[in-house]
Amino acid sequence: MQTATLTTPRSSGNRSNPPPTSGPSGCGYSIWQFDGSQWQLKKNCAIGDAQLGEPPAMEGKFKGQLRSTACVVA
Amino acid sequence: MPIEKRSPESCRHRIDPRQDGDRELADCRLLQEIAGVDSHPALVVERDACLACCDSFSPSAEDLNPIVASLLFELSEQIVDLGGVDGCDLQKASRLNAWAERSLPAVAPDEDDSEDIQQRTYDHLAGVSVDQLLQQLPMPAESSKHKNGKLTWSVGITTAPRRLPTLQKSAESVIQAGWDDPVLFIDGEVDLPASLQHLECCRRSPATGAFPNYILSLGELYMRNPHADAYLMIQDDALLLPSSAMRDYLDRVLWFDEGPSIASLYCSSEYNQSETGWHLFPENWVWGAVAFVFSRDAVLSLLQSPMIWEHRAKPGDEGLSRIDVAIGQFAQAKQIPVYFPSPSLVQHIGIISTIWKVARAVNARRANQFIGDQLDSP
Repeated sequence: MQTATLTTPRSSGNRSNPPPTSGPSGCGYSIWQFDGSQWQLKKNCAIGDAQLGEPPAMEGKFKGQLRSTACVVA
Repeated sequence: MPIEKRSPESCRHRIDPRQDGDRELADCRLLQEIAGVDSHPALVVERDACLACCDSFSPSAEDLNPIVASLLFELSEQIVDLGGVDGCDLQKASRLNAWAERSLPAVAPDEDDSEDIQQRTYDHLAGVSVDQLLQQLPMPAESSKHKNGKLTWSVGITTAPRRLPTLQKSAESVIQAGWDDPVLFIDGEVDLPASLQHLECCRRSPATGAFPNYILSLGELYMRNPHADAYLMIQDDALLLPSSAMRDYLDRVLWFDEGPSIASLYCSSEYNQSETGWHLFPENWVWGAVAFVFSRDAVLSLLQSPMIWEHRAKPGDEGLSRIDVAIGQFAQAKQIPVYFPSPSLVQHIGIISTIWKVARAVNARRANQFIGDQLDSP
């Protein structure tokens, strides 16, 4: 039986469902707004030294749409 | 049971559709209701936004899908900038803005946060065979060493009131997957759909909470059937492949060793492995109690574990939740192996958690490699 490899850094604490404000990785999140052709950063909610993650890869569905992506460890 | 697809034309929130040049506009009554504002430019939405909203789960004044959350964020932000308007003062606008922000789940860059996963159906995979499942998830060599034939099963589904119910879809998938008599453990007031009313039920009133219901239910499964080989505990937002090959496959594959064992049929996107197959989890399991199978020895050990009972005594909501964390810590402490498949055998379809008010089944709370999708791929 192969032992699983975990590549995601484990966040401290024993939470499986961090509060929404910390993002799934515990690093915070960023909000992007679709301007009709690309995603622009609307709000940076990174926690501590965390960095912005990638903007959404999929095109937005309407102008003004917001999407939140998780920030990542620096 | 198929979920009726929404359309802008049938949306009860969409009022006064009109043409403005080449754009089709309408007012959103839901935004009006939430904000308490009758007239504001940001209440006017374009058809593309309505189409996107119809593709997502049905919103309400209690639950915002990401489309309505986007629109409400913009509306409330503009009202905040104005210092408040009739019907929505500054304080209310700020509160609405924060709620809209919280209602946008943080997703992976390539993930669509607005998809209504409940609209996906796998009924066309009902004829999938065990051999096809074995091709996707090969049987580990360890499986053959301890096989005595088919397993005897005891199956329970825990459920509680949900603002967006998933019980019917989940339970029907369990039945189609080969377990035709799961026991429903109902925590609080839940109306059973007609298709499930023939099942044995245990109702708790008043509700006990997610974690107590889970442990009490597992104990009851054991008490009802103390000699089963496998105790399958399903949460009501689990979706199994609707083929009886699922049960046949697990009969062949489980168990991997003779001692106490736990298998999660669900693999979160956090736990995806590059190697397809069954894996031994190396740390405390954290992401998801969606579908655990316990061997008989594992059930006995868990029900006698002070750690499990002490978890209930934790303050506030913690003692009522975090089922996955508690089981993960118990298994680690007792050195009980936790196995899981990658790709996942089960998908997590809960849109709104019963436990976490705005938590959505996205990103780590979803399997982004589900065997149903892999079987669908050319």
